Amino acid sequence: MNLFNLMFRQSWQAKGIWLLLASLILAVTATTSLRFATETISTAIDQQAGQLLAGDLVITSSKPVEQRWYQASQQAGLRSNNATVFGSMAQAGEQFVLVNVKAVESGFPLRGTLTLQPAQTAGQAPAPGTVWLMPRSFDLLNVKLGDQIRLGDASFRVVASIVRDPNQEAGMGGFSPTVIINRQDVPATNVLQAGSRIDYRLILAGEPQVVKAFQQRYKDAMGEGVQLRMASQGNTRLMRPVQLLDDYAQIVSVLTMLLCGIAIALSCQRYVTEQLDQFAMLRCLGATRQQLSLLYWGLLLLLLAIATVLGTVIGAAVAYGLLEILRQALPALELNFQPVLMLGKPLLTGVVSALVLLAGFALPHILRLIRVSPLRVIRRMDDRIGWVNITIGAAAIGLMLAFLLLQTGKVMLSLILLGGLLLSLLLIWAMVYGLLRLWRRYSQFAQAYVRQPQQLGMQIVALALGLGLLTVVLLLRDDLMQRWKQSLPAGTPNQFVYGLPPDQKDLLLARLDAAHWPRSQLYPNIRGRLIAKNGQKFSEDMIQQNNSLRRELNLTQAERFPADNKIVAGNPLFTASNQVSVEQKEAEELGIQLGDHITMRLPEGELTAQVVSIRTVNWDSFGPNFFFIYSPHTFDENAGSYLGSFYVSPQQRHQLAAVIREFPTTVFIDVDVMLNEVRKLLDVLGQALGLLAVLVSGAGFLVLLTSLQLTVDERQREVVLLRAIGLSRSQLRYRLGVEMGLIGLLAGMMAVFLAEAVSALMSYRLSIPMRLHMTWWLFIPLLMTLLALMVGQNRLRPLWKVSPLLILRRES
Amino acid sequence: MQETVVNRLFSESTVIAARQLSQTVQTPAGELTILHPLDFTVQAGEQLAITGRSGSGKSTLLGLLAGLDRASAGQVFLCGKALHDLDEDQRAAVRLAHIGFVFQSFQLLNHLSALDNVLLPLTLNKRVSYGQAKLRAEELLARVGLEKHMKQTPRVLSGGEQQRVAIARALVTQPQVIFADEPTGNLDGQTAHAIEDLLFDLNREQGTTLVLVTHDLKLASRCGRQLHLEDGRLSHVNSSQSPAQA
Repeated sequence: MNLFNLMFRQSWQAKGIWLLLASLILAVTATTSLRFATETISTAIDQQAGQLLAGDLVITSSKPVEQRWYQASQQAGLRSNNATVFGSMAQAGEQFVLVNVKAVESGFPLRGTLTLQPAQTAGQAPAPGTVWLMPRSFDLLNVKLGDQIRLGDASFRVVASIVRDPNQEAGMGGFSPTVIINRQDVPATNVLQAGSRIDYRLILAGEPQVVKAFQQRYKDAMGEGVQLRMASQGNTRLMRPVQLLDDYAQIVSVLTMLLCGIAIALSCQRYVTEQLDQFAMLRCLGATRQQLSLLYWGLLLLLLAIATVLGTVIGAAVAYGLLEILRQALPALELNFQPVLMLGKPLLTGVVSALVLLAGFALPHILRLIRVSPLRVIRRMDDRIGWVNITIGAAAIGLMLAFLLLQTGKVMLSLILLGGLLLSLLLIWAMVYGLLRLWRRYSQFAQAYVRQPQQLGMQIVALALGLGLLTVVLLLRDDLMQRWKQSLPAGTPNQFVYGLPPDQKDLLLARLDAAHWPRSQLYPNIRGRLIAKNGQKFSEDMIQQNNSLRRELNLTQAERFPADNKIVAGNPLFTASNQVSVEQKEAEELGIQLGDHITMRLPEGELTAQVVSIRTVNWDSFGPNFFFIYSPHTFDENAGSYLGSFYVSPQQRHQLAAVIREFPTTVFIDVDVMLNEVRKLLDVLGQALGLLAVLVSGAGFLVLLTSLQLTVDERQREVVLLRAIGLSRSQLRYRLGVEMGLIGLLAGMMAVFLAEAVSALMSYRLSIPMRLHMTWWLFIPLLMTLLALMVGQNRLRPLWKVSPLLILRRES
Repeated sequence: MQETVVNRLFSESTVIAARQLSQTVQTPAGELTILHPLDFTVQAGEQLAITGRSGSGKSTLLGLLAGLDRASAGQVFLCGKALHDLDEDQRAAVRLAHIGFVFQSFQLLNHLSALDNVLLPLTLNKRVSYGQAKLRAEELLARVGLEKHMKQTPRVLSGGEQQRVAIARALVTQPQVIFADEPTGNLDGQTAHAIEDLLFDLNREQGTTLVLVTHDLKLASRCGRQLHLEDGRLSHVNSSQSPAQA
């Protein structure tokens, strides 16, 4: 039996050690599961984005993709698949519908799963001579399974309905109802002729690093008319929630660390206070500081080891639960739950986090324990140190900051969080202290209950901190979710109209208005290429660097801008023809400023206009948006076609086919399918965030419990003394109730104040509108008062039942 | 009357020697002298009581003699070691090798059994094997009348039984000196008397030196010699034939 064994057995039964262990386990659980889950989710969402392209990378060309790209992808170790996409009229009987033909070969898609009804063998292309149709095409063409349709010169038998095609992209080609045929059948259709709008695609997929390397290597090597697109680029709508999830995960991670740190500090404080006499006695018996240091660190490392094992197991379970929810919500999401991966980075993060927390938050207490004077055994010494000052002091904060920076790589976010927290802490303490002093001065009641405003203030701050951070997480979660939902309000346009001939504009408007479908205005649309600024042609370098100088742009002219565009510079209204408003980022990239004259090359000749305003565009709005909007009468409105968007409710969808049939040459783009995918993704992210918030809540609850326990510990001796001098149980209960209730109430109020402060900072950081949360102000203080009362009663009840003499003896 | 230590300081039988030993502390009100310079020696096997009222400086003196604290001036020699020249860890080594303690509040570890509590000092000393240590602890527990309570934790033991465990723990390392700080202060009269008897009997059996701090003059009178402190000064030294020496 050695000293370590004896002291381990002694410590194991100490009060503080369980909360310390629980805090450590939670820290490991939270960091490992968070790291593991966010990594897996991010990977899955990247893959989801990949599904929209049907692969990780796509090389598109208006001519057949050159063989060298196929060879290059083979050499890089990427899987590849060819597809040809073009628009064509489909015919069934007397029905003609413009469809988007996707001619594929076996293996399509490389990412995602194509769901068909009736089900077909996965990865098989349609058999030659057969076609798969989207449900809308059945309506538009008035056909059913087994019927024949014609595409150009070839005839196809309809054998399946496309229930879900994740390969829905935001390009113009993807908007008409899709039909899928075998690539071998393309020549027979005879529709591909010179001038046809065709996309030849080489779809590639592989390991993320290989994909990235391939993209890095070849992105600038594509020739004229050839594009290399990466799944993670371009689809800002999909990436936006991912970025928000990432930000939220960072906040959750930082707050969990802080909360667990505080819980560790408080439970260490409790444990150390309990152990001081014993360590003093060991010193007295002849133990050296080195022996005690080794002993204590050994105990802590043992705790860390236990916490690591349990925390990782629980973390794996939490991560599994999280991923199961996602898997059920999004069966197509390629989620790989591999527990072995938990043993890599996530485990390391967990262990390092717990170690940093222990070192940062427990060190002051360890020093206090190791330096305990042996003299303490014969003379009660007041060696209490300002634990709030030291625990949440420079060393811990410095360590935390360093770790957070390493962990998140987000300097500003970490600084804002910690700075905000420290500032709030100081503010809250100063406010509580000031309030208590003021109250004490004017109230006899307060003089009886608020004896040490400074100490009481610290207890309230500690409580408020745990509760406050907990509130912040819940509050941010709601705010984020609300903002996400607001970005896709009900009634978001779900139909996009493109290529409407000018002579049919009024007819379409009449049809839409008759059906009461909310719509945007219809914008005349011509295409032009930007060639010069202030009479100077753009240099070759500029053209190489800017995609918008290499392609034709959609231009419009309008009196009013789309409602969500915001003018950031210049005149909000046009005053004459030949004026133009430019989108802000485009203007920045091309160095376009107010007053500049820009020249576009149109089929009819060159068009020069003066820049009179710069505006922001909400690309997520699903409405028509333009980089360049010209003043009315700048170009001939009838030179091009019109575009716009409108909303059809699910109940009225059956009326849509009739409208579409009336405008056979116009492209109607159904964005509902895509919107549903995005909505589903947002819902799932919301659920994921909810689970993450549970982790932080657990940490916050530990802090609450520990700080309440400490508050109660300090009152134990006092309660005994009061009993000894003759206070009745009911008097004691009342007295304690008032005191604990007061602490709870003030802590609750301060917690909401802290939450509002951090929320305001985070709102600023995440561009969420700031607002006050009145319900929190009502419920949190009330809840906290009740909780403080409950814990106080529960912990002090035993003291009312035993003889004061016995406790006094034990306490001495 | 104060003894001079110079000629007896290094005699072979001297276990403790204090020379011009004093203690002052800084307080917000200024410097406070707790112990004024004092000189005395304690011989091997002697039983010395340090008496005085509360605040007279007796616990401070015990702390300095046992090497628990450093004096602000003067010298302390314990078992031939100059404690005033040693740092805290070196003094800890001296305590481990030469001293046993008995405290007023017992200072037992609540969650360990009586046997484990007695074993504790031996676990600090790596030269003693577990087998030897256990044997010695069991013998001592039997000697203090607790052979049936070895597995019990202090929580279920009475105050007198707890102090017996503490006495066994003080003696388990076979120290040369036992320092006892108000050893019966927390016990009722009858139990206190039994504990006193045990302490003196064992002290005689083991041949240890006993330095006892108490305000109980009756208990002090059982020691061969008493040093009485008043306001940090040695007011008088009594030598008497204590029952323990008889």
